[in-house]
Amino acid sequence: MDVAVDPDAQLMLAYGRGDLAAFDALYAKHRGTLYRFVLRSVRDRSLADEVFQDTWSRVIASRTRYQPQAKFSTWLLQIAHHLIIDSYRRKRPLAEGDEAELALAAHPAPEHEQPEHALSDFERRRGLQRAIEQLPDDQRVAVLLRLEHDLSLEEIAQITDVGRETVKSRLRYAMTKLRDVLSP
Amino acid sequence: MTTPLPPQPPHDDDDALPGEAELKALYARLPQPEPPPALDAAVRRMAAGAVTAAPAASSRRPRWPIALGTAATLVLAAGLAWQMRTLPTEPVPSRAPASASTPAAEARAADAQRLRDEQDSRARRANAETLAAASARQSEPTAQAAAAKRIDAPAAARPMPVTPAEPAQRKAAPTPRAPAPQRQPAARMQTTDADRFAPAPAPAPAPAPAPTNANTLEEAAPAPALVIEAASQAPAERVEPTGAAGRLTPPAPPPDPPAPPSPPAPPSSITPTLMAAPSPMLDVAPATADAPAAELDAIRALYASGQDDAARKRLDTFHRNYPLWPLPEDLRKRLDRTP
Repeated sequence: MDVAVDPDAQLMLAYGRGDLAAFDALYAKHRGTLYRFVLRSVRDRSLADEVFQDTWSRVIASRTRYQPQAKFSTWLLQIAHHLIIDSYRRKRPLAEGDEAELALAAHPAPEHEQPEHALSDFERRRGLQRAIEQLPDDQRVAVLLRLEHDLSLEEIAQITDVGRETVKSRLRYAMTKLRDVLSP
Repeated sequence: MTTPLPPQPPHDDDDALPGEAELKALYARLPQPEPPPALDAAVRRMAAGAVTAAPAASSRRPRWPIALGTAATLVLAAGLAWQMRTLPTEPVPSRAPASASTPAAEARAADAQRLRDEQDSRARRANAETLAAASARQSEPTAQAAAAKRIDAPAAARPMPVTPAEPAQRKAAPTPRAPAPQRQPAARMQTTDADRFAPAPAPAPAPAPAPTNANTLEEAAPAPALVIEAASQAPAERVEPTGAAGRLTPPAPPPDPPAPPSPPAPPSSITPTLMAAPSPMLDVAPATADAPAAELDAIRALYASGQDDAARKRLDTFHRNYPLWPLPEDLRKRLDRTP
């Protein structure tokens, strides 16, 4: 992809020149996906809020130095990934099991997707959610980047600073585990 | 304007993983949490604050590097100038170490010699000033006593010993021992004491001085000892400079000497200055500056006691020794009646 024509990169360059509306557009486009990626990676709402805000503060601080050498989304997720790794290194207690489920349940599914309406589907999604939580960190990040942002292997490798084959291997292991959980 | 990107496949077919489509569909039905509104407001506030604070920050930025660069340039220039200034002088001593035959060594030796000469001349000037100050203090006695001193000065050109601690200086300046004529011309009386400190020219041949005890002592003893001994044996010199004539003890009437020695005074009355710088009169006459007046008093006493012959002899001797001394009227009449 030609980064010179990346609309997000152009918005970021416009914000670097002082266009606040360009930033609002950028934020509106990426806030949800970024927040979900962070929340499902750190599995803690307060920590997710902190990482989310730190990610955007770094984007804001580097607005004048920004050079579109990659897609804006890749650059944004790279910043978030580094902050997530830092949070892992600080060894903050992560929400395990029921806590993670409670945290994710704070965002209820639509009415028609409640368990009484579609019990089997809900249980499958709940199983998927818990299986993702139990993945190792590197595999979970790779799966989230693949399923949430639909990124290629190269983009995931660029974000996570590993090789393409490593990403592919992590994804294979992760998806095998997820399929095992979901299979009856 | 940016060109809108064409829709791209999520990834190549070779990236596809087994069972990925099913997992992706199930994942899409998971709850979609959104950031809370407070977090959105905080992020937007940060972005707006950064945009408004940017112009001020950008206007302040270029100032301090310029100041820092200027200061660094000045420091470098000063250091370079300092090094360039000190370079020519340093290699000279390192390249010619202790070579007395080199021009640099000769120049240094000449400089050192010149410095020593200047120090010696300064020391000599300081000594001369000290001597002049001492003589000025010594010349404060009454004008009459000073005049008597100069009249009786046996060797005006002889350097006066100032302090006992200066024998080396006295050796450096040879002291002519020949006594000066007793009868000094009037012009000679105007000479100052400082003139006496100057090295004396060839002393004029003078008649032998009248033999006195002081002369005998002086000829037998070295100069510093002579000064102290003569001072102790001539207490008339040890009186205070002011009013010395009035405090003189009337001398005993010795037969021949024109200025008989006075009774010895207690050593406590010896002032260091007078001991250190005795009067030149010691070379010829033991009498001090007050001696003529005392002698006249003694002569009067002799007349009063009826010893006219002895009084006349002493008066004649006094007149020969002090021809310019103004005699009182009564003694002048007796002198005029002398055959």
